[in-house]
Amino acid sequence: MIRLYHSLMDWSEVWALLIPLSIFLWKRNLNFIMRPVLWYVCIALFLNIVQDIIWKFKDEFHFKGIFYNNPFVYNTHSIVRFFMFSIFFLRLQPSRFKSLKIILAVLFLAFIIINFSIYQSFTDFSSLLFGVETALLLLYCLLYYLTLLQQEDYDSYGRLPEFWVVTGLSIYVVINFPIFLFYRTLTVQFENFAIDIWDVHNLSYIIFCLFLAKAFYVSENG
Amino acid sequence: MFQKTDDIRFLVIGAILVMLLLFISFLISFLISQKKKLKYHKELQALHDEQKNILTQQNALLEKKVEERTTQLREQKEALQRSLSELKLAQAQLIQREKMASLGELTAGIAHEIQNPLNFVNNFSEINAELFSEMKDHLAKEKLSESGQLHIDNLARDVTQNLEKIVHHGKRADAIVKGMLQHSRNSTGMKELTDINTLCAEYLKLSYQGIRARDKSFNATVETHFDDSLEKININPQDMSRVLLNIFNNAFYAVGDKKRKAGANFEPTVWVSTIKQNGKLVIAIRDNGNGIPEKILDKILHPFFTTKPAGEGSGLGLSISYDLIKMADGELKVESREGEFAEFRILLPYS
Repeated sequence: MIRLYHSLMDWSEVWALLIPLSIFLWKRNLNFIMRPVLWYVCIALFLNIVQDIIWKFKDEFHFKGIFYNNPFVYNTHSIVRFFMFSIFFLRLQPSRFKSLKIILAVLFLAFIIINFSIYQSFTDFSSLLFGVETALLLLYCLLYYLTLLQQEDYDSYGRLPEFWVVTGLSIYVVINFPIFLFYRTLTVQFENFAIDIWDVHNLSYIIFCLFLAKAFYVSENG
Repeated sequence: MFQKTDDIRFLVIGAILVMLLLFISFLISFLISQKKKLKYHKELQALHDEQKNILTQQNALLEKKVEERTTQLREQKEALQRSLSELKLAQAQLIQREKMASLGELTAGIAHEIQNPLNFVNNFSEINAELFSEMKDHLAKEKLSESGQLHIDNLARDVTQNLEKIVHHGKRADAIVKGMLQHSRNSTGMKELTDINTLCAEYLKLSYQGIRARDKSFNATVETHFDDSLEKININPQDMSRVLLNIFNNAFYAVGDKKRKAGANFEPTVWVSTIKQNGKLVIAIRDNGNGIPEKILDKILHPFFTTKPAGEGSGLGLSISYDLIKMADGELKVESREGEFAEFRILLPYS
């Protein structure tokens, strides 16, 4: 039972993504705003499969060099996630704080280039990268809520796919911001705790995917 | 106190919980505020709908009132326009009547002044002719040279011809003057109950026979449609007979004129009908002659206006007819299409 639970949690980043993808394939309704989210789901599925295969079968398949460890895949995932959701937030209507969002995206790009050129190796898990990414995504989410608060006309949020995406993303980044920030330290000092706490990440990722599934469900063609 | 090694784990867990708690609090606050906003919006919408309903009702009421007022104004405008048209028509008729009256007076004055010297001319011309005849008889008894006799015969013939011309044209002038006097003269008799159908039939026949007497070759089809249900009306039969005779003569003249120009293919026809219409007795006289050109339609009732060649009409017939009809409180209407027909409608009071 415990083994089953562990297996489920280990592969949660893969199967959780299949939930929104299945909903999309079933409904086949997606508006212009939601397209970057679909691209993210597809790319994330590929990256998560790669990272889990490396993690689980690196010895069995005799992976070597860069492919012996999977942190570069996590780093790639983090970068892809940030830019996909940046596009998503830039497409949101009404288009407010657009300049700020573009500046944040450019600053993040500059940060990646500088960080991985000078300070850190791309093959190592970068808590800083994840920390900055989640902080910026959280800022995006708060800007979205602020926009909703400022809006005069009111629509039922349950019918807005972007509301479900932003809420799911907010829960994910809120829970994971401290985890990402200290994960590198935890893996060095408290490996077991780090493994356990990663389950919290996985759980939040499942919740995030459920929210994405709901967003795909309520999305309409456009 | 936690050991230093434990701090970071608790820090992470604490941070997660705090952030999650903060976010959940934020989300709940956000949703509550949005719910309030929704409630406020709903109330506002309800108020807006209520105001809109009131406005719609008021608008409908206003539109109805505007429509009613517009209808009233339109009716008033139409009534005013009708009054204006009637007024203009009455004004035109009044002007025409005044013009005719002035012209009649003038004509009567002139005719009266001319009548006396004309009588002298005519009478003395006739006397001269008689005297000259006597003179010729006396001269015939006297013995004259052959050349002298020839010269006197030539002179006598010329003088006789001249006297005949003076008498002929003097009589013509006399007829014109009499016509002018008739024009200015008021009614010639008393009103009496008259059968208009009989009057029409009688004068139609008289007119046709009159034309036929002057021109043996003249022939025309005459169609009559008299309303047998008509009762006698109170009019001056002498005046009406003059009117009818004049219009019938014109109709026969028009079809005869066209026949001369169009030839054998043309069938001259004159239609005469009587009918009751809107409280009026209508006598319609229609011919298929050359009709009246539109440009002279408003002049045909003027005195001395004629389209006939010189010597054939005085131009007083229709003018006199118009005046006589007016005196009988009637109307004379003319409708025509050049080259096709002319129709005169006499409308008389009928009760």
